[in-house]
Amino acid sequence: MSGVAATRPAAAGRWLAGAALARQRIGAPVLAVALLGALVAAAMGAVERGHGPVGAPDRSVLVVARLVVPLVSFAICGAVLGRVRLGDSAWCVARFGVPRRTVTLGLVGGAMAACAAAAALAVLAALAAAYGGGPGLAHDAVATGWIAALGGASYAACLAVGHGMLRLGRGRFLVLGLDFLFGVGEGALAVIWPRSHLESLLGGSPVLELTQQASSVILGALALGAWIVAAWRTGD
Amino acid sequence: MTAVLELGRVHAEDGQAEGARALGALHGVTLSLSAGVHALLGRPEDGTLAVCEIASGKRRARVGTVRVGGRDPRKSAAARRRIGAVLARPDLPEVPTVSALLDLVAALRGARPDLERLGLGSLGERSPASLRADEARAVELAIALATPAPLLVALYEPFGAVAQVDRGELRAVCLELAAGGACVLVATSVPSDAAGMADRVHLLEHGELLASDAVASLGDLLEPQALVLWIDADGEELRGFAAALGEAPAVRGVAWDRGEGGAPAVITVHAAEVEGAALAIADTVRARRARVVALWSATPALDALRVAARARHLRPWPAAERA
Repeated sequence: MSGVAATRPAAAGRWLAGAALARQRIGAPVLAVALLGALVAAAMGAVERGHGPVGAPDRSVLVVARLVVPLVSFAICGAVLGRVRLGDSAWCVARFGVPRRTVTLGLVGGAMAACAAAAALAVLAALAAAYGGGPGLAHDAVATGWIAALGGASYAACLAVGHGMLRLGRGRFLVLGLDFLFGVGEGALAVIWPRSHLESLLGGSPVLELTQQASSVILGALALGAWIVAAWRTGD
Repeated sequence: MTAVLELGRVHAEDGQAEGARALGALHGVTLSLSAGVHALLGRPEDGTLAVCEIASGKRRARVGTVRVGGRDPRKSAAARRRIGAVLARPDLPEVPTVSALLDLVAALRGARPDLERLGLGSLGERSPASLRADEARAVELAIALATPAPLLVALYEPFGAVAQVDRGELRAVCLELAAGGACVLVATSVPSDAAGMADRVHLLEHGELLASDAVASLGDLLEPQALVLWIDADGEELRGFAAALGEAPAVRGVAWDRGEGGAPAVITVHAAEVEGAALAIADTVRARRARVVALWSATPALDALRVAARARHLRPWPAAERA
């Protein structure tokens, strides 16, 4: 085998190793968390509908965005990224000579995809329960599904940054806490937290009077930026 | 000789006890190892695990420099590509089977590890998650030994909690790697393992390097294992017992001393392996119906070795190699 031919699969393998690792880690526990999140979201939708069918979908989706999406993302990140620092989580592949940041890029990407799917599932479950078979479900599902997915991915990326901080990646608790604390406002402090933009996009108050388009761009930028920062910080 | 692994005034802890205090730590260790088989003799509390973890690139040193082939393994993926390591806890990627794991390693490193050579072929179709810790460490060992063009192979307690591995074959592979220019670092707390595997022994104590020397110059401190036996026998009976014991194939030599004033006689049995000596003693005692008073393993314990090493003023690592 020529040297070039020998290095090609190795190079491809290095880039895919992190994603393959994430795919293996997304197993039964992640599925269980996603289903539990959807179940809780459906219950919230049903409760809101019980309070009054008018505006129930909007209220239930907001509650799901405030509680279910962050907590489900936190649990899924714990399962995919491990309860260790991000660099240590990538060690099982990085030990074979793959840069940690390459492994982490795939690993966090996998976690983002899983959180996006779980968040979308939760919001759809809440909508379905809140509508209770009434008209408008399909339209709302399309409109809110992608927002929830973007929010889930953004949470996963921000939590991944936390996974790279403190002993055993306990910075993830810090990120979740700060998001709960500062993400509820409408001021400048809320701009960098996913919660504020997710709420704004789902019918909550806008942050700094930003339009929904601007909030969606910032949410996407948060996901992308945090993803890169999380991977970059783990080093070679 | 060019140094392969260099530690410069390293302060570091191991990551064995996750979430709690580390098991062991290094306090300003300076060490320079060239190609060859080196034994790092000490317990995890002395920092042996910390050395393996920082040398393999898993952890960073708190203070000081760590270089493998001139590069920091924590920061250089290229250096890690040429480092094989077996640490305290197995850490294998999640893949469906061990065979798939070997394919992944082959894709990443360009060489597929051979399980058969260490007698681990039966593990190929198992899932890594289903492996016991000793089996997973054995697979890690096979992967570490198959590192292409290795600079460093760091093996933490390769004879402890490692399943099915043939010691002789392991030693042969280590010698091959060393002959090819690799630095094989065997961290162990068993002096006889260190003597059996390595060319040079480095004694660690409480995170500091106590002594470094060639195995040959440690002489009888690392003698093959022996058993000391006290029996109620005298005269012809004692001579006959010792002669019968000396004829056992597992026994290398027998020395005996008549007990004074009614005290039991003392027989020292030297053997390559203490298990073989014990079996030979059991057979002889049964055949000659001797009455055993006590039996003691005379294997030099780590602490005894340290005391002896201090008493002999073993020279520290030569200045030329340290530089």
